[in-house]
Amino acid sequence: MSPSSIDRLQHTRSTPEQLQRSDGFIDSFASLALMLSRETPSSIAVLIISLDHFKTLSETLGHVIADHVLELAGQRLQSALRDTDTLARLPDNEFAIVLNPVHSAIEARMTADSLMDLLQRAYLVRGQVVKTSANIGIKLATKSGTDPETLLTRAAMALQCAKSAGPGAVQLFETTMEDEIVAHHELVCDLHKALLLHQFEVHYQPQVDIGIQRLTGFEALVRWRHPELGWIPPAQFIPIAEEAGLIEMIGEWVLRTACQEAARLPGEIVVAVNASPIQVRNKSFATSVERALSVACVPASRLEIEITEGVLMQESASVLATLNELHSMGVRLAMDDFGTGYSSLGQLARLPFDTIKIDRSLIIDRPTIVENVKQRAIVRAIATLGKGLGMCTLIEGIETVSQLMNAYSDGCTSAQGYLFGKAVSAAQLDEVIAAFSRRLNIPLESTKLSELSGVKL
Amino acid sequence: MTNDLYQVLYCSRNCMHGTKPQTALEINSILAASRRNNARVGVTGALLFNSILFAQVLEGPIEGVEKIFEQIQRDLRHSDLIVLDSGLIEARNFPIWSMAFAGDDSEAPDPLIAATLNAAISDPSADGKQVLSMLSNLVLQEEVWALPSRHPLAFV
Repeated sequence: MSPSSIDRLQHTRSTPEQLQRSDGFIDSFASLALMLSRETPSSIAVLIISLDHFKTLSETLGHVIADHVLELAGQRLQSALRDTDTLARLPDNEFAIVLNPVHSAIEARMTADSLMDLLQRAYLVRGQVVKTSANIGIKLATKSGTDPETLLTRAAMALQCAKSAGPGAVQLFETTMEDEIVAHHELVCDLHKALLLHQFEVHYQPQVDIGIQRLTGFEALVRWRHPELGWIPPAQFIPIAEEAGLIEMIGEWVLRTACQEAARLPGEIVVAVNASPIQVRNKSFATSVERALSVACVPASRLEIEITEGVLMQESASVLATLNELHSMGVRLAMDDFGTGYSSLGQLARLPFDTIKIDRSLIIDRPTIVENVKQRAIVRAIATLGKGLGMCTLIEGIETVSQLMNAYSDGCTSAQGYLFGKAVSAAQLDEVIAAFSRRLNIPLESTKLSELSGVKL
Repeated sequence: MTNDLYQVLYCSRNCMHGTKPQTALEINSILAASRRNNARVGVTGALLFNSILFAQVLEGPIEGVEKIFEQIQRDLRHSDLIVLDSGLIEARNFPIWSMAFAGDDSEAPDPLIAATLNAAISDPSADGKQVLSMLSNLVLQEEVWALPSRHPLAFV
């Protein structure tokens, strides 16, 4: 649901000369809008179709093949349309269609489904079999909404929703989309300003060694204090930042801030910083980390970089090189959210991780004893694996003593969660460290752990 | 380059849900159209239809094969087309345009053909050669309809 599409539409309208003319295509978006204004307004539908991954296609197979596929796609659409329908080619590998007449949403949708089927069929170009996927957004003209500009913009909004639903999705415009897209657009604008206006803060959540019951480090967590909306959770703004191309700037800022904080912290306290897949895939990531450490005068061993498995999904030589470089610098590496996704054991063994972070979902109390027993079996297996590979196993989301006891008896070495404290601001760090200066004295051994093994407390 | 022979082998699902005579009529029109179009661009091949699935080989100059393939792709009478194999070949497997028809009754499609085609369509990475050799065998064994010399629709 990127608002960039709205910008693009507006942009497109002002520069119709960009469009290439070819058989069967009307030559500009402006004339499409003009044509729309002449149609019987309440019985037409506007479709905007986008072919996905087209950039990748032209990068991998070359422009000639990609352009040919685009041309064939246009011909396929044209071949399926009626004489009264209109097809226009838009920039950025998109097409606009005016279906005339269309009498119901179902009819428009059925047509769209059939066009989708045609577009997603394989193309044979220069001896290569090429597959592509598409998305379609639909806006039906209504009695109250016949303005061509609105129809096109709303079809584009529906297209954005279709895109977020995944390849092949067809989406009819719904009124809620407009609010969502406007809100999303505003959030992106605000996010652009947030760094400059110092609206981000790094908060720090304690991590403890369960065995010796002492504070070993903090996970640095970015927070956004929005001037009107208040605190916005990372889960909400990080994906937007990634989409808007802001994640590297934000990530770098968090990294530097966390390193400067680490410099101030006593002893061997490690600061763990999350790195977005986009950051790690950037070849200069290791250099950024090195610079952040040297500017803050912090030894590399005081920094841990947390990455998720997603980074390793498209295992590329450059990502492996980056991880190895970080490792050889002495930076610790943690595999985040382990136990939820693919949880590849092979990757864990091959890559230079120091810590496995076991996902919080594996500590949540389940409704039945059987489920809890199974869940603990997974935790135990990961802990055993970590031990075998010489890695710490940190369990996340620990809220109660009984959860901690279970995690300990299952072999986890470290823990994080509300039991030890929520993330706090930098200003409160000294206080937290002082509170942890003594052993926690949580009675892990005093209870008859053997009796509890495998059973939820 | 222009003399190179190119081959593409695909499977797809039949989307015609008419009665037997209606389907036969459609198949007849498909064959008539292919006969016309293919000859024009030097393409030969074989079509297998078992009322649930199509399997087809197209052979000829690459431009011709691509043109015919694209026409076929725009046909809404089939769907879920999967390319099983494609590439250059030394010589044509089907020098004359042929059609093998396997089982005209949707209630009882030829089990071996159905199984092979189903396996091919559910696992496109599987070896297309199996389908190709099955097609060759069917064309050889049962009957060769060298169009237009004989009426293709013996099953009508």
